Amino acid sequence: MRFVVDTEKCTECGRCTTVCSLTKEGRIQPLSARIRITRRWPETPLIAVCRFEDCPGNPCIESCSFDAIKLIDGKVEIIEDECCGCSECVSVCPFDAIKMNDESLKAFKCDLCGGEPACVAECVTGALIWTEEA
Amino acid sequence: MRDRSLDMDGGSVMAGSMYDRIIRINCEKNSGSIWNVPDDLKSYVGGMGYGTKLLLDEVNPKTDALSPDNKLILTVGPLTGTSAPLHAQSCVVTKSPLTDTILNCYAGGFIGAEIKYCGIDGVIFEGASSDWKVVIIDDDKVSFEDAGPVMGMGTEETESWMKEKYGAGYKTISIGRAGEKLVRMASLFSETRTYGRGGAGAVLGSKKIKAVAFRGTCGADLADTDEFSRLVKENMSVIKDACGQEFNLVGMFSRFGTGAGMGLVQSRGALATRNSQFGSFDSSDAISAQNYEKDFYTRWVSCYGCPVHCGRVHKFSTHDGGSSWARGPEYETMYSLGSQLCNGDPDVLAEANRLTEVYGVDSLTIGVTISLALECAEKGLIKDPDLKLEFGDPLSILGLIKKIGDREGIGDILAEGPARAAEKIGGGAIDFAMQVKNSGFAAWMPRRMVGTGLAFATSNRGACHKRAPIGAEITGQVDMLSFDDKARMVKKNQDVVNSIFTLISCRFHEFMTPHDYYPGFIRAASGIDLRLDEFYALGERIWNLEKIFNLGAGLGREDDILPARCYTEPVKGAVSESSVLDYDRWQDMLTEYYSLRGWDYDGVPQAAKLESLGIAHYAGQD
Repeated sequence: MRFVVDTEKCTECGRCTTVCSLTKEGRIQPLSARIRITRRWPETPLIAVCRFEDCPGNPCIESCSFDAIKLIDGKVEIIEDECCGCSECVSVCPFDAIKMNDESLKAFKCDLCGGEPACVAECVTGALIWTEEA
Repeated sequence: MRDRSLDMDGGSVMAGSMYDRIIRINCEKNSGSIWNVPDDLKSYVGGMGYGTKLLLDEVNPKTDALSPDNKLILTVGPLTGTSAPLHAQSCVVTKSPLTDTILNCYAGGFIGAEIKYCGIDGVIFEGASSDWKVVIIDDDKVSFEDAGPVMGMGTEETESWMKEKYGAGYKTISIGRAGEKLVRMASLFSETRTYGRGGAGAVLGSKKIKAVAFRGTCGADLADTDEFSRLVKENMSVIKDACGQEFNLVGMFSRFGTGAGMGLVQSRGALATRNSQFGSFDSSDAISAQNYEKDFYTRWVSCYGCPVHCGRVHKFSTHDGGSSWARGPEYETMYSLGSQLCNGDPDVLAEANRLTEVYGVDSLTIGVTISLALECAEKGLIKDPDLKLEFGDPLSILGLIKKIGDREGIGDILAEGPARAAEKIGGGAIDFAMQVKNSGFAAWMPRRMVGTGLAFATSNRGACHKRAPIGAEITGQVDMLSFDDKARMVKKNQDVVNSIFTLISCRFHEFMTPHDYYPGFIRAASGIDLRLDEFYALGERIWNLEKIFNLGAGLGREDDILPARCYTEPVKGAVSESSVLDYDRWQDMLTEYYSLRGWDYDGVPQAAKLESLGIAHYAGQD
């Protein structure tokens, strides 16, 4: 399964970010969402979310000197307890999908909600799709 | 990202979506401080309710709107910044320099959510600064900085400068040159979304605040997250269903933007054209939303959290051979800078719309003021050394926007608003200044839609379309030309809309959502218990508070009136049936409306009415 992102269809409503923060943090706080929409009017927006299935070489894993990023059951995950906050992974991610928590100073990113991403269900235009197709 | 429990005396207070804190900004001292919302204000829920009560309690209605004694109150509501769909809007309440009434105006976009995320329910701007400033609000911390580098800039340019200087995460409200120059129809802008009506931009300008940037890290809490999520899911399903229906109005907005209904309005002979002389426009197809979608680069965009996505970003060609882009025009602007000016060129319309954003003016009132000027020129009452001042002439339209925005030449008179300008021009111009209380008509024709006309006349903020039976009249659900039952319909509409503007709902939300959802949403978000009938009564209570303010400001029955053209000149055009309003029947309808409101012949709320609304202590206040 993988994310397919169609920026042409994105209306920048940000429902994906609201529901992401609600799912992951228990409250609405788009800053802590694992997906980010950046507006570029009049052009299409940037949609930043972890797309490790399509990521050449998963450079975040290599970049982490503390083995805090691992491939587990076919998914790239950040082990929060082992993250030292160096933010090396943030700078190498080709999808700009890893963020730093201002308070805990740990890296965080999308974990695909265990296989059913909450953001996809919220997207009314089909800009975000979760599919088995390549 | 701040933990809210730190603000809450050890976390003993139940988290809800209202923070119960408002920032008071002392413009004179260039400082800000937190003010805890008192219990009697909390019963007003938020949004327009907060703003109206605060203005009435703190500002003398006779205050000059552009003096430091006026306040500008910016509020959000219990659903702002949550996942409830169609709740992107925030509200500004102030005394209007355009109408001399109390004003409430609204903008969508993302600014409302950002204000909420600052951990506050609003901001009150008080006094006036001695030098031009920009205000930076980081959560609850306020700082003032020199506005020198942005003076004279357009609104979008100002926002870009603010993002560059303070960070991309900031959301900004700003004024353009019109606000700086106290043009009475100047608006506040945030990413093209506009607190449009009534001149709030001039009020911020009078306080010498060029822009306010917000960045919030607090997020939004909910009193009952599970119940709230359940309601959102149900509501989203209702909205998606409506948007999928071919003939659902909001569904049409979803597919084509707010201009989707232009063909319908034209077919009903209610498309105000040539300063409201005609009810149809030969070139309406060319400036319709469907045409923009077909012929122009188009992107669908949304306000915060909105699945309707009625916004349209277009690219267009400018009159000097260049290119630009704009969000819009929205429907109301298709009328005010389109049909009303006989402007059938979609590029010129988009450019005119864009120019109103650059200068920071209300596209409605400026369009109506321009249409007045063009007719005055036609009648030989005014002329201009640079412009032909002819209907349909692109340079006249674009040139007048600039002159009004800069208060240059004839623009200085027009910048006072259509009624004030007409009085100054003389020659009977006031009879065809299409305004109420100096606020330009929204995109509808009172002679063709009698209830909507009554709503224009009785609105507490002047010629307002937000609380009018437009849908029922334009679709033929009720006879648009009949006077019957219109007083009751208008009163109900005004009260219901006032109640949802405490939340603050987009008008389109209420079109699709059964009203009994609102108490559930309010309870799950903020923990406030309110039955639906109490919620409606709150709307009526707020309407009466507004009226009390306006009476105190010196307005009366004689101000609840449409311009003479509506009673004397039949509408021209193919399907307009020569409609004209019978003045005596109109006055009878107004009396009936006052009586339904529990007001006397002069429109003064009676003691029994105020008592029943729980605001008896405001009786006789002016």
